Amino acid sequence: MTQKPVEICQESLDQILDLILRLASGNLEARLEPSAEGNELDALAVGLNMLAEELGTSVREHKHALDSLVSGEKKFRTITDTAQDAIILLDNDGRITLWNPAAEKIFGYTAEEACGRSVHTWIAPPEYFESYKNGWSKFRDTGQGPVIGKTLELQARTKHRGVIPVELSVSSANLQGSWHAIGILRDISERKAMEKSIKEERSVLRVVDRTLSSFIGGMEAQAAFDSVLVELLRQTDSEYGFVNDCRIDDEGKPFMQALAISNIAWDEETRRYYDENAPDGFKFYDYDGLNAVAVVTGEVVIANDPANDPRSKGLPEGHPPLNAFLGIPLKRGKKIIGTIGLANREGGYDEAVVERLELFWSAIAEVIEAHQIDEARRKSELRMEHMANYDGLTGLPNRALFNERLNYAAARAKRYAESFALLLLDLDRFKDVNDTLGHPVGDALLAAVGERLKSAVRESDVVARLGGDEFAILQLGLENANDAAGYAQRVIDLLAEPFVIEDHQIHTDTSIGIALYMPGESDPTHLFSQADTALYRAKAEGRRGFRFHDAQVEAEVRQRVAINEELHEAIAKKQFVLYFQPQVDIRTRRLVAVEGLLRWHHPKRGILGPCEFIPVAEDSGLLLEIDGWVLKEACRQMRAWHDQGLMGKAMMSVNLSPLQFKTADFEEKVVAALKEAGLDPHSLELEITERSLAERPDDVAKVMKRLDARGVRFSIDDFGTGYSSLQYLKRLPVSKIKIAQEFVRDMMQDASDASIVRAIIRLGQELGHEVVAEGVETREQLEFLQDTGCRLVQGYLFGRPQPACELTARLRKGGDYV
Amino acid sequence: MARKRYQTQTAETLLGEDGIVRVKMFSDTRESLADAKENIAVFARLCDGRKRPVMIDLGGSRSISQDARRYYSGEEAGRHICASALIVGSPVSRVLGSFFLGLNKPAYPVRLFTSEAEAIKWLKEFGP
Repeated sequence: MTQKPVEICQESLDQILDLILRLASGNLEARLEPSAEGNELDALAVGLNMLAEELGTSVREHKHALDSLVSGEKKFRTITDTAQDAIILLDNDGRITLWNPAAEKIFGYTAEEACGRSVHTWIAPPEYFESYKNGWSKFRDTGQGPVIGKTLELQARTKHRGVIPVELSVSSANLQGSWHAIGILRDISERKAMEKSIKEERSVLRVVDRTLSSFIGGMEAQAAFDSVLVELLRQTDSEYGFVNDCRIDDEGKPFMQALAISNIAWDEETRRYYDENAPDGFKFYDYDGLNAVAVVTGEVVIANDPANDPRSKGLPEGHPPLNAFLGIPLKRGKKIIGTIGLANREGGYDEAVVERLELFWSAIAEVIEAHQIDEARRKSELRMEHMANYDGLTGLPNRALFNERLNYAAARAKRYAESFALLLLDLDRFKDVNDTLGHPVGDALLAAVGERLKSAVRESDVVARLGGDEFAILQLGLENANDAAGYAQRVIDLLAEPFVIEDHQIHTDTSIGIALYMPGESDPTHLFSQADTALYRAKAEGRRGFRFHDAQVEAEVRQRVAINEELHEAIAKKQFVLYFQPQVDIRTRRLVAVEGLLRWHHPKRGILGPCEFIPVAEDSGLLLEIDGWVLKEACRQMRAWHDQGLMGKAMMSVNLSPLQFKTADFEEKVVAALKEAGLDPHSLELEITERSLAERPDDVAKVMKRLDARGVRFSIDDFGTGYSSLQYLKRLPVSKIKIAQEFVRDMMQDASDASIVRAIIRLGQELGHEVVAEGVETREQLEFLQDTGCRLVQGYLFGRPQPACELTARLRKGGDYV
Repeated sequence: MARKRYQTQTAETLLGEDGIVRVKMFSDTRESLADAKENIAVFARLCDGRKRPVMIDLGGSRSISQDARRYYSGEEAGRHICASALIVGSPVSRVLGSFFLGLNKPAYPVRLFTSEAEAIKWLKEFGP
C-alpha cells in the first residue's frame, strides 16, 4: 500500500514548533493531539508526545533516584558518623577508603591521615602481616577470605595508646566491579580490662575463700597464717613479708606480734637478726619504722625507695635487703587491728596492687579479728582454769589439782607397778611470822617457799600448796624409800636456809610426813591421811625432820641413812679391813692365790660383810673410794707377804665392781696401786663380773689388754650367772674362770647344777683357761670336782675368809692344804 | 476459523486455529494502563495457561501511554506471550511500534512488520 504524501501546512508546523518550544522551556507535560488522519504529521506528534512523556518520566525518575541517593548517602553518613564502632572500608588493594569518626577516636588518626594507607602495614600488629599478605590476593579475586563473615578479637596499633584489643567483624562487598572489605571494629580495651578485673577479682575471691577455709577448716592457726603469707607473697610477687596483729601486753603497752613471718630470706645473717631482735616470739614494741607506719597512720604505705624514704628509720644490721615496701593497715571498722608488710616486689608497689587485693586485705583483717577474739576467749578460759587449779599466791597447783594428779599417779603406778611418794610439809612456827611481821610478809614467805620447792623438784614431780603453810609434793618414779628420805632431807635443808623478805631475815624450818605407794603393798586412796599422820609424828618428835608412815620402811630408811653417815666415818677412821680366802690346787694341795674380801669392822656391830653396806655406799657415791682402798690394800698386803717370804708364786685376787671398771682412770689407778705397793703385776689378779664385760665390751677389752700386757691377770667371777657370752672368753685376755658358788653348792643334789659345773670345767679346759670352783665346803664336792677335772678350788673346806694376820700365821706354819 | 474472540475497550482479540493470537486495535484508540491490563487479561484467558505468539495490528492506535507500554513489556505480559509481531502499516503505528521496541525492551521477541503474512510466518517459528 502506498501512502499519499502529506501536505504540510504552516499551521501544523507551528503546532509542532510550539510543542517543542514548550517542552524546551521545561513543560514536559505539553502534548500535541494528533489528528484522526494518522498521517506523518500525526506520527510526528505522537512521537514527540511519547518522547516528552519518556523525558518527563526520566526526569522524574532521575530526580527521584538522586533524592534517594542523597537520602541514602545522608543515612549512611549519619550511621558511620555516629557509630560507636570504627567503620573502615578497604579497597581492592587493602587501602583505606572510609574512616569514620569512631575510627578516628579509637585509633587517634584523622580520616585524612588514614585514607589511602594500607591497613595491613599500618594498624595491624606485625604478627598479622603474613596472614594478611597470604589471604589478600584471594580476597581481591573472590571477595572471600578466612576472616570474611567472622567476628574475631585481635590486637591493633593506635597512634597514642599503643596496641589495644579490638573486636573486628569483616564483610566483603563488590563495588563497581572490585571487591572491598568492610571492617566494623570495636575497641574492647575496657571490656578486656573489665574481664581481667573480673578474672582477678575471682582469683582474689578464690584466695579469700581458701584463706577463710583454712581457718574455718580447722587448720592450726599458725599454719593458716603461714599459708596466708605465702598467698600474699604470690599475689603481690613479693620476696618476703609479715602479718602482724596489734596487741596490748599485761602492762598495757601496745606491741605488734608477728602472726606469720616469711623465711624466704632467712639466711644465717637474717636468722641472727631475728634471734637477736625478736627473741620473744617476734614481738615488736618499736613503732618507729616503715613496718609500723601503716599501723600508726592507718594509711597504706608504698615505699619504692625505702633507703631515701623519710618515714624509714634505716635497717638494723642483719635485716634482709629492702628494695621496696608495701604496708597495709588491717582495719575492722575504724580500729586498726594489724598490719601486713610486703617487701621487694620487682618494679615496686602501686595502688593497683593495693586495690586489686582489697578483698584479701579485708578477709585477713576478718580472720585476725576472729583469731584475736578466739585467743582472748582461750586466754580467759585458761585464766579461769588456772584460777580453779592453781594457788594465786605461789602459782603452784592447789589442792584440787594436786588431788587430780595424785589420782592419776596412783592409777598409773597401779597399772605399771611403779612407786611414788607423797610428801606433806608445813612450816614450823609460820604463825609467828604472820603475827609478828604481818600477813604481807607471811604471804611473801609462802611465795618464796613455793619457789624453793619448785627449784628442788624434777619436772615430772608435782609441788602444790594445799592451803595456809601446808605444801605437798608428789615424787614420781621412786626407786626405793631411800629416794624419798633423801629428797625430804634436801627439802628440809633447802627451807632451813634463811629467807630475806622486805629486809627481814626469816628462819623457818619444816617438817615432812611421807607416805609411800609401793605396788601391791599400799592403797593410794589412803596416802593423804597416811602422810598427814606421818607429818603429825614428825612435828611431835621435834620438828625439822621427816617421818614415814610405815614403821618398817621408817626403820630401813633410818638404817640406810645411818649407814651412809657411818660409812663416811669408816673411811675417815679406817674401819675397813681385808679378809683373805685361799685358792688351792687340789692336785698339789698348794696355795695358788688368795682372794681379798672386804669387811667393815663396825665399832658397834662388829665385822660386817659387804652386802650390808655396799648398796648404801653405791647410792652415796662412796663405793669408788672404798674400791680404791681395797685395791691398794690388797697390793700392799701381798707385797708385805712377799717381803716376808710368804706366798711364793701365789696371786692376790681382787674383785672389781662394774662401776670401778667404768671409770676413766681405772687403768691408772691399778698401775698406781701396784707401783705404790711395789708389787709385781704378775702377782695381781683382777676378778671381773660378766656384767662389767657385757656393758662396754669394746672399752673393757682395750683396758684389759693393756693391763694384761703389763702382767696383770683377769678372772671372770661367778661365771654362768650373768650375761654370758662365749665371745669374750675367746677374745679377752681371761686366764681364769670361777664357777659360781650357787652351782657348786647344789651340784651334789641337783643334776642340772652338776651338768653346768661339768660344762664350765670342760669349757675352760677347751679354751685353755684355768677353772676355779668357789664355795667348796665338803669332801664330796671336792671329789666330784676332782673327778670332773677341776684343779683349783676355793671354799670353807680349805679356809674361810680370814684376817691377814691369821693367814700369815697359817702360811708361816707351812704345809699343804689337805 | 477463529476458535475464540474477545473484545475490549480498545481491541478485538481472537485465537486462530494456527495457535496464533491476533489482536486488532480499534480505530483511533488511545491506550491507557487500564486498557493494557484489560487486553492482557483477555489474552491470558484465550491462551489458557499457555504462552502463545501474538500478532497485533496497531493500525487504529493513536497513542499508547508510557504505563501501558511498560505493562506490555513487563512481567505479566511475558508470562503469556512468547513472541509478538507488530503490524505497523501507518506512520503513527510505526512510531508507536518503534518506541515500544526501542525504549521498552520487552522480555520476549518483538518485531515490526508491514505484512501480516510475513508476520504469521515469523510467529509460526514460535508456534505451539
